[in-house]
Amino acid sequence: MPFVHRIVDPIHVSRLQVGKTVTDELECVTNNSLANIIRQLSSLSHHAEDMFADLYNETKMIFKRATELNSRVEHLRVEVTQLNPTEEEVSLQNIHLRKPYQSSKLHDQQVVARITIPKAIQDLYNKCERPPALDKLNSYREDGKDCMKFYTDPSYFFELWYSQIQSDISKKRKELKEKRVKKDRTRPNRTDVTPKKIETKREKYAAMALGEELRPGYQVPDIRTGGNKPIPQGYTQHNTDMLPGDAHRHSVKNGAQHSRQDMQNHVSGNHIDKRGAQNGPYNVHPDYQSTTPEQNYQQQAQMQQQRQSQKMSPAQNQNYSPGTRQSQKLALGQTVNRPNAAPPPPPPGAMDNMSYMQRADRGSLSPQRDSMPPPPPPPLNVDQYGSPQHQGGMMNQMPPHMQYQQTQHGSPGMDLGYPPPPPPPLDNSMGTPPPPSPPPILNNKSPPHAYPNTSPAPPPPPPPPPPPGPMQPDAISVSSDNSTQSSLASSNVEPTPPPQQKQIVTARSALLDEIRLGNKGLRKTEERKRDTTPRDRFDVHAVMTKAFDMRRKAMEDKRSVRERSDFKYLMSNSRTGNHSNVLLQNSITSVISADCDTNVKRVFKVHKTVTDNVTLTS
Amino acid sequence: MSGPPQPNSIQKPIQQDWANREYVEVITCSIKKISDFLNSFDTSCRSRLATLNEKLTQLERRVEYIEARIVKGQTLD
Repeated sequence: MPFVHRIVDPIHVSRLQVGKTVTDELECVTNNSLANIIRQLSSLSHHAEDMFADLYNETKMIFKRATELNSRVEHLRVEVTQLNPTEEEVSLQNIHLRKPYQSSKLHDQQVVARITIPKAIQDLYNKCERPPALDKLNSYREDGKDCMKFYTDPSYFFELWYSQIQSDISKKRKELKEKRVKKDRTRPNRTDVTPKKIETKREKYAAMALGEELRPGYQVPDIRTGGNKPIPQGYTQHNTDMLPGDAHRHSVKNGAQHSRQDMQNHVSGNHIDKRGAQNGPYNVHPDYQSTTPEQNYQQQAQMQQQRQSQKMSPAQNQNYSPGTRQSQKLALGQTVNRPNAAPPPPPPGAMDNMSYMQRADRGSLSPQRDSMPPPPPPPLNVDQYGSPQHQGGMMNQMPPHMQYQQTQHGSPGMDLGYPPPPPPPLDNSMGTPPPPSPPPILNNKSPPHAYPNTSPAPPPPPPPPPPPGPMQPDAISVSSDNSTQSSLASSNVEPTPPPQQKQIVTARSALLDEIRLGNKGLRKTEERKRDTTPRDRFDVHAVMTKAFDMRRKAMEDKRSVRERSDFKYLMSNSRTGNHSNVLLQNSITSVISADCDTNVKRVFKVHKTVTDNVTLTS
Repeated sequence: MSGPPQPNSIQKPIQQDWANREYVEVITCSIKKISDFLNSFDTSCRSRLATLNEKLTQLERRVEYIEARIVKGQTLD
């Protein structure tokens, strides 16, 4: 049955009952026909006007969208030309922390509704008779149903469809539950079987990530205990770099629990391989420690290559300065003892883009370290330095190590902890907000203790912080790299004003503006999402996505069972908090490979710092 | 004495009427043509606009995605 939009009135042009008084009937009919034709023409012109108006409006809208789109494309074109291909925007680990993209475009909903009704049909609609006023009978019904729905129910078909979808969803859910129950039953057998398989994988990944350094005679507890010593320095540096903001954020929001768990895992039950597969920065320490001079020579070539790329990755260099200081000492005398001794500070360069989770871990750890009792006067011998490293067990039980570390390596740490010595100003001058932020934390927690103790026992004169000249010009790019971090840090921390405070403030504000501008799109999506949530009832798209999700889950569940059971063994002990979330959602193998990649990167960076230090000291 | 009516007196109005009816027919036919044209015009315009709209929507989605890719995205908390 054709649905007539527009009717040209009158339809019957010549039909007419001629009155008896009319003498000339033919002429009367003719005149009447002509008059009706004119009426038809007027009606036709009215409809035509209506049509053209509709078309005009639609075209206007499309034109508007097209121009808007054109401007957006132009803007994009400009932005794309400004992109730096060599600059790594997001690290492989960070990529898991990025918010998933969600389009702000809404799907067209309720296309046939009262709002979208065209004018011609609206006119027809208005001409219709109203339904009988059955709603007045609602008060007499006891079951609370709407009387009008017995007469006419516009939502009938939607309800029908909706109930079908709901039943489908519930069915799939039930299937899923049954599968999971089965899985739980079969699990014990699987866990017995799978580890053998995984041994090979683990070895493979460990080899990929670490090379030969980690394997021979590498005892985790030693690393942990020894790690407490050197790490605080690195930690302090990390604090200066990015910890306060991120760590605070994580510990407050979601990172705290996980970081605790991670701590316990690291301290108590880590195996080398697992650490190799997962704990990003921690892996680096052993490598870093175990790098013998020969290896350094081998890697110097790589270093030089990387140095060429310093301008590309200025953040690394910037963050390296403390690490280099420590590594200088390592290169000077302690490298031999190192492999079993203490992990050095995590490669700072890796941290600029590296995962927040790890930073969160550090952040949760660092305050404890900072709050530890102040170090006693430092013995400067290598043996003294090395021996305590093997003693300690738990982090919290190890204040002496801290003391050693702070005092001996103390200079950098002190530089960071106390009113700014050369290094922080350098960082500040580079315009990265993070550096200023750590002082507050350190000042809040440790300084009262640290000052008096360190003053009686002055640490050995620290090698002057290497002021990297070429790095300064890269400050802008650094700031853009760390923009999100820095803004977060700046927002969370009230920095003790260093001399370059003004510059920092302006840089921060600029960064904040940049971020605000940049994230406008994402914000838009979130807002829209919020807007769409309330009218969930007739949201066809939402219902459909729900149904599809359920179907997808049921489908994927089969596949994921194997992978998950395989992977579970790997991840069981050293799973980090954010990782666990990510792993459940994403494909597992990709996560592993990403970890391996980042580990390899870190190893390179560490080698780089070592060689840098060697050159500086020489 | 009523003779047969004059052929002219009868035929003339009938012929006139036929002429008028033809005239009306021509006009109605042209009205039909106009309406046909309007309908086809409207249909084709709407279909083209619909395809255009679809393409625009696709483009908007793509551009939005590219924008999101280029811009430094927020990270999860």
